[in-house]
Amino acid sequence: MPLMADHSDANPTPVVFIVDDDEAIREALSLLLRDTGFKCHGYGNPRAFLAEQPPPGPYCALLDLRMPGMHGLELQQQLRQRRPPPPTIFLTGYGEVEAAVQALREGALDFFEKHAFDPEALVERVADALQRHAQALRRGRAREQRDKRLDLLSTREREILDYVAAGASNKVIAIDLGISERTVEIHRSRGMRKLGTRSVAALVQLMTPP
Amino acid sequence: MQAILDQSGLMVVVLSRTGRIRLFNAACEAVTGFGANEILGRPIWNLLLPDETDGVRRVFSDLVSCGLPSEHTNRWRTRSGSSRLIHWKNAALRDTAGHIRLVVGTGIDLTELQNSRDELRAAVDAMPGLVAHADAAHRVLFANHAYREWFGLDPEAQVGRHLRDVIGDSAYATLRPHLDCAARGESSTYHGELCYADGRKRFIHGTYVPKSGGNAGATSFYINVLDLTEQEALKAALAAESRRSQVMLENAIDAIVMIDRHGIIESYNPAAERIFGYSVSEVLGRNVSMLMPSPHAEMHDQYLANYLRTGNARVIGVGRELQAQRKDGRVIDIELAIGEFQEGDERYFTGFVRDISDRKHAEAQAQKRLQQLAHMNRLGAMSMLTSGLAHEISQPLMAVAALAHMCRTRLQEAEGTSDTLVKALDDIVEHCDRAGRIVSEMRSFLRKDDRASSRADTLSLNELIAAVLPLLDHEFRVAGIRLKLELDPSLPPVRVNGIQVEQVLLNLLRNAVEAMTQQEGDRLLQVDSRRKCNVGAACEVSIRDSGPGIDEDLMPRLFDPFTSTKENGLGQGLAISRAIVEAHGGQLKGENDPNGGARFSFTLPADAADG
Repeated sequence: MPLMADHSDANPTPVVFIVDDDEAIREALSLLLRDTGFKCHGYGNPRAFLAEQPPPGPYCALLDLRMPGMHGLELQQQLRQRRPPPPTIFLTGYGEVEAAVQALREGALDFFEKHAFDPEALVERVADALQRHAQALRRGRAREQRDKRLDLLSTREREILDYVAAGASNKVIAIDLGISERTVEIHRSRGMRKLGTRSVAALVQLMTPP
Repeated sequence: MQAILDQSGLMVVVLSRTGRIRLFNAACEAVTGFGANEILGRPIWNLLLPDETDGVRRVFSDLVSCGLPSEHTNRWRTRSGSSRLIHWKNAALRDTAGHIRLVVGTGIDLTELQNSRDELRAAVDAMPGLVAHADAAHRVLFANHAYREWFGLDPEAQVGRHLRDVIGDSAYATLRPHLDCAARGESSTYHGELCYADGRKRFIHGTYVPKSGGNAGATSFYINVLDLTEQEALKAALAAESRRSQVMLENAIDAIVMIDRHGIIESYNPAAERIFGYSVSEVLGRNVSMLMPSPHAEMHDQYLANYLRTGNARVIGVGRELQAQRKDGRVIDIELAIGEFQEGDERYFTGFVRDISDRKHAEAQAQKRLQQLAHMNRLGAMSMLTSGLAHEISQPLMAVAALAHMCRTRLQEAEGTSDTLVKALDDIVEHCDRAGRIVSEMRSFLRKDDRASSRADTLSLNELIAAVLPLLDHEFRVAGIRLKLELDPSLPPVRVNGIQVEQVLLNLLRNAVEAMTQQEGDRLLQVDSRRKCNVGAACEVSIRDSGPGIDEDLMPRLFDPFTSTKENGLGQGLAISRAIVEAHGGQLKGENDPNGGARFSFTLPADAADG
C-alpha cells in the first residue's frame, strides 16, 4: 500500500480520494489537484474505495452522486461511521440538486455542479476539507492522550480532581465526601502528579473535553 | 228327388252304415271337382284330409249307434289337391222297424267365409292398440295380437280369462266402471294413466262399446285401447319447455322483443320495460321503430323489407352495438342480437337487447385515462431524454474545465508564457461556461414542468392500483393472463401525485404483460402491496410476472434511459418510473424472483400526517 508507506504517524501527507465512475473526470480532477500539490487517489467503484484501509493522516473524498452499485449518499453514510469522519464534497450531474442538498444536510462540506464547474473554488474547498480533517485528527489524538492519562487515576483521585477542576476548596471537598482535609490533600497531590499538571489552570484545561 | 237335391245348393251326402257313399249331389261335385260316378260306393274317409279321419269316424259311429243328429265341421280334399272347409248337419235315417239304415249329411262350404274371417283377424291383430271382446262378466272372448306386444301374453290363451287377471288389479279397479257401463249396453271411454299388471304405467285412451244389437240387460262388449304414453310425455315436455321459456323471458336481464315480418311488436318482456321505459301495453301491436332513434326509426321498415326480399342480413345472426331510444327520449348504447324463426307462413324476429351504456361510458373513461397517461409518459420521456443529455454533457464539461484551469495555472507560472495560449485557454473556459449555462437553461425549462406536475394529494396506493388495473383489462384478456392481487388493507395513505404514481404502475404492469407474452405457458401476474416498517413507515408495491425474467447483462443498465428490450421501445419507461418514485422519496428496484419471472417493487413513504 503506497499510501501507508508514504506517511509516518508524525507528519502524514493529506490525500484526496476521487470516487466517480467516469474515468475522464477522475483523471482531470487528479491532474488539477495534483498540480495544486495534493496527493490524489481515484476509484471508479465505491465498494473498492470502501474496502481500502483509510490512511492514517488527513483525507477527504470527492464523491459522484450517482454511481453503479452504490449511491453517493449511501457511500457518505458509510464514511460517516469512520472516526473522525472524513469531509465529503459532492460532484453532481444534471438535476441532482435535491440529492445534493440532502447530502449537505447529512454533513457534506459542499457540492459542485459538473456543468458549471469552478476549478478554483474546488481547490479551495479541498484545502479547507483537508485542514478540517487534520484538526479533527489532532483533536482526536489529544482526547486520546487525555483519556489515557485520566485512566491512570484511582476512582477517589478522579472524584477529588473533578471537585478541584470545578473550583472547590479542600475543605469543601472534605465535608462533601465525609473525609479529612488531610486525606483530600494526599489524593489531590498524587492525582496531579499522575497527570503531570502543576497548576489548577492546567488541570482545568486537561479535564475539559476538547 | 235327385233333381231337387241338386237344385238346393246344399251339399247332400248319404252314407251306408259302413260309411260308403250312396248319394253325392251336384253341389258336392261342384265343391270337390269329383263326379258322383267316381265317388259312389267308396268310403267317405277317402274324401277327408288324413288328420280329420279320426274325428269324423267318431262322429259317424255315434250317429250310427245312437242316431242323434249332430253337427261337425271338417275339411274335404278336392280333385285339384286343395281342401275345403265344410260344416255338416248329420242325421240318421231309420227303417220302419226303427233300425238305422243310412246316414244323411247336409253341408255348407265355409271355406270363403273362413278366409274372410282370417283376414279380419289378421287386420285386428295388426292394429297397434288392444282390441278385445269380453262377455258381460268381463271374461275375455277374444284378444288381438297387441296383447302379446303389451303384456307378453298369448292372445289365444286369454280366452276365458277374467279381465282382472289379464290387466292386473290396479288397472281393473280403474276401468271397472267403464267395463260395467259397456256391459250394461252403453259406450264408455277412459282417458288417463293406468298401472298394468307388469307394473308399467301407460297413458291410454280406451273405448268400451257394447256389442251391437245387444238388448237391455247384460251384453258382451268390445274393448279398444290406444297407448298415448309417448304423446303425453311429449306434451308434458313441451309444456315444461314452454314454462321454462316463459320464466327465462320474464327474468332475463336482456330486453327480449319479438316482432313479425312487418315490424309489429308481438311480445315484450319485463327487462324491455326497464330498458326502454315503455310498458308492455304501450308497445304491443305497434311498430318496433318506436324504440329506435333517428335515422334508424325511419329506415327500419325498409331494412326489414330489404332483408325479406334479398336475405342479406346486417344484424341478424351477428349482433351489433347500436343505439336505442327510450320513452323519455334519452338515446342509450345497446348491444343487439337478432334471431329469426318461421311459424307456418309467418316469419318472426326476436331481438335481444342489452343496455351497455355503463360499459361504453367506462370504456370511454378508460380510453381517456390511457391517453392521459400516455401523454404524461411522452412528456416524461422528453424530460428524461433532455435530462439524460444534460447529464452526459456535464461530465466532459467538468473534465474540460478542470484541465483548462490546470493548464492556465501552469502557463502563468512558467517563464516566457505566450499570451495567445493563455487567451486560448481563457476562451476554452469561457466556452465551457457557455455550454454549462445552456445545460442550466434546459434544466430551468424542465423544472417548470416538474413543478406543474408535482401537486401531491393524500391517496391510497391500493385505490391507485385498483384504478390502473381496469385500464389493462383488455390486454390481460387477450394474453390470457391470470391476476393475483394481495393488497394489504392496513396500508397507510401516501402523499403523492396520483397521475404520476399511476404512470409508474402502468409502466410496470405493461412491462410485465409484454414479458409474459414472450413465452407460452401459465401467465400469472401478482400484484402485492404491503407495509414496510424498517425505514420509517413506508408502503411497498411489488409486481411479479411469470415471464423469462431480466437478462443479467441488462441488470446494471436496467433503469438507464434508452435501455429497452422491445423492438420499438424508447427505453424511457423504467427511467421515468424511477425518476417519479425517487422524486416522491421512494425507491424502485427490479430483480429476478428466485421462483422465476421478474419482480419490480417500489416504496413510497407513508403520509407523515397519518402518523
